[in-house]
Amino acid sequence: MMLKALLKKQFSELLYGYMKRGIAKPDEKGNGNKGKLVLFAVLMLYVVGVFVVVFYKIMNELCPTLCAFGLQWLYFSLAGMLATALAIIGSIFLVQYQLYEAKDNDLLLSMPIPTSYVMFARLFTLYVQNFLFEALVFVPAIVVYVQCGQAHMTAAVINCVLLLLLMPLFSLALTCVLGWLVALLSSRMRHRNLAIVVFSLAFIGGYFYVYSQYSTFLKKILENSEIIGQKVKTLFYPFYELGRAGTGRVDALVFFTLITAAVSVLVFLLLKANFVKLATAKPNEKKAVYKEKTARVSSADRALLKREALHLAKSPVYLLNGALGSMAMVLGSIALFWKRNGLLSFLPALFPEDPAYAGVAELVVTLVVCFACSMNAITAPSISLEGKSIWIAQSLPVPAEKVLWAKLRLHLLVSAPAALLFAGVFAMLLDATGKMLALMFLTPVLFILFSGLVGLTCNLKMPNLKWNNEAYAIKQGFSVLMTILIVIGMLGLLIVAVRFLLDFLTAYDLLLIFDAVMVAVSLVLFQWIRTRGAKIFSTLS
Amino acid sequence: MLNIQHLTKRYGNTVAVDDLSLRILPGELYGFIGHNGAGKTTTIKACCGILNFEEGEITINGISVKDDPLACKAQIAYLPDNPDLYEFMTGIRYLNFIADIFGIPADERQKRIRNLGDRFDLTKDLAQPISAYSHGMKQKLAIISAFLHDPKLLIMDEPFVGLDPVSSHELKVLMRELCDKGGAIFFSTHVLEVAEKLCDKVAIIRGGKLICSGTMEEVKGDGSLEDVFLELEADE
Repeated sequence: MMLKALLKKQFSELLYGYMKRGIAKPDEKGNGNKGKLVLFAVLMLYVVGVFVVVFYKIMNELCPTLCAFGLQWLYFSLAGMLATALAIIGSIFLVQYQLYEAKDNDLLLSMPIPTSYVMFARLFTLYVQNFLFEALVFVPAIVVYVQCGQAHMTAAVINCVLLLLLMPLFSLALTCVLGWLVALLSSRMRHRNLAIVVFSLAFIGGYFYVYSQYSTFLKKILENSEIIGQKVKTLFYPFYELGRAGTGRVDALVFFTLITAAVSVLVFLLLKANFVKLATAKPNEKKAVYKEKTARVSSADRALLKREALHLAKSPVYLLNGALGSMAMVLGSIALFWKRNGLLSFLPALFPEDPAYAGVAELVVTLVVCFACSMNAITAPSISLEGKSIWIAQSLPVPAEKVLWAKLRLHLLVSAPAALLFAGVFAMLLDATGKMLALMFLTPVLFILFSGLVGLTCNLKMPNLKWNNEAYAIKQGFSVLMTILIVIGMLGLLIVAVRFLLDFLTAYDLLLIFDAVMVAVSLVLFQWIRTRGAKIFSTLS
Repeated sequence: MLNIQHLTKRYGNTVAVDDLSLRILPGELYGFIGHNGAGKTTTIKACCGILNFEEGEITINGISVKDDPLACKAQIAYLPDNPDLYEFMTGIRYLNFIADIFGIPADERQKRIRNLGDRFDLTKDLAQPISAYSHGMKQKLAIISAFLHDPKLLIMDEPFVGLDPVSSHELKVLMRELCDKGGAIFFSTHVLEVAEKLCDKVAIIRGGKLICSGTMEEVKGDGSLEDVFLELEADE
């Protein structure tokens, strides 16, 4: 009974987090929520679809070759490793929020509930989330294997379904240990936020590197499958057994089950022994002592901008999700400049000198810069991030539009310099001149303004002020998702226009029309935010 | 100072505040009492210009909250029932932010921060992030920020919740000082003993309707405020 109640609470919290937090309340007549829920479900299906297609493609390249070499087990080992890695990446921070730093740990631990029940309920929801991540990889892997038509298919499929249920236990055990290590390390660091940002950037950089080298890695795996198989057998033994189990071997399935059970029980017992200590631990931060000094006086406008900037700087999750594009553009500019000689020899092959396609190279790089800008979403969660403290901005003697413009100004200040730098390096490499050079700089700036205004509008229409952790407002905010879709959609329109209209219009004309459309839409949004949007903000609660 | 005339606020079909009229004069410390969900917070938020209302009028020093909310907000300070402050700021940064918005000169704000910080024993903790503050410390910081720009009218929702006895006493002293200077205070509370000792006037609200108001003597007569309140509740 007690466990059932705990599980019910955990799942309702989970569903609330995924479904309702991102969606604004319906109006007084009850309109609005159903449509948004359907849209949310469609978007989620789209995201899942993209993952499934990507992994299906990878598996489709691996499976036939490895099976031809008689290395079916290696195919499943690699699929298992990929699934486990995705589950760990996807749930390491969830483990922190839902297990170690859950807001209701104190409350539940103060009740007459056995610690193991509290832990079990939390771990079970994490298991479900791990299962979903693993299924994104392993289900396409099974489908591809079936399509390849290997021997002992029935046994293989039965084993794979059982593996799909077992693997999340294995990844969950690893995630719990890693999550605990991250929590322990970050609580002992002086510059915790900086460490999280650097760690995350390194991780994202590594991910993009692996993704960009995807074909090379795949080729290397296929070329050296025997050696890799040997390495997996010696260094990652559980995955060796997992791979063998995937081919239909019952003894391997028993082995993998025993290994998973042993690891899971060990981690569970370790957690149980330390859970109260871990869940109630406070960060080991040195207490700063106030020393009086003369304050720097700022105007109201500047104070509001400083407030926004401070929020961005102090929140790793906001910084990483809101300003990733700027970081990518700065790093991209350095990389472009560093590799300029190689690129200069490569560009003529990509964009041949043809008067009919004059300015196309500039147009394409402008698209690249705009795409990088679209990764910045500072305004989209900014109103939701006011959270329960929105009363402060509302009760201050400053017009609501000034508060909103401060958010837009920060978006421009963080995005525009990086975009101009990126565009500048591209312009130098392409030796751009004249009108196209002007548009190479103007278009990204207009695009940043447009995306900032779209973000504000979406967040005013779909605010979410009732979050327990700001990561919910940033990562699961419906307004953020909508903003990204609209902004990327705008770029998509330009790509379609380039594809179909380049024979009739010059690259310069296309960019000019694109800019004009952005200016027109921005003006409409600007006027709406200034009037209706400001009124909405003033009474949000 | 604060004039509420025929205020009505509805949430859908529910009437949260029904034709409420109150007048708070300069120098008055006005208590606002009622059970949970009676409409106190709704009234307070409407007075601060952060909640729209359908009918009635609220003016602060003759200026309509509906017509010129900014001019009204410049004269008041608002303290909500829960001190949800900017957790990404330190205490001193938050106070400087408020001071910047209200245009308080550097030397003046420094003097006021020192004075108020010392009175609430929070000065030494001002360099810490607000996220590290306890509920009581956040409440003290919210109170300091409310007094920082020397408001003419202070509107507070349950200001004593979470305060230790010393800070609670200090707040009462500050409230009286503000009223003695010609300011006015309108605050809600559930602590009837505090209201009885502190307030010049009191209003009791039930189901969104004003059921009793006047000077403390007029309202409680020979009994206690608690007796009157319970009697009025029982009448319902």
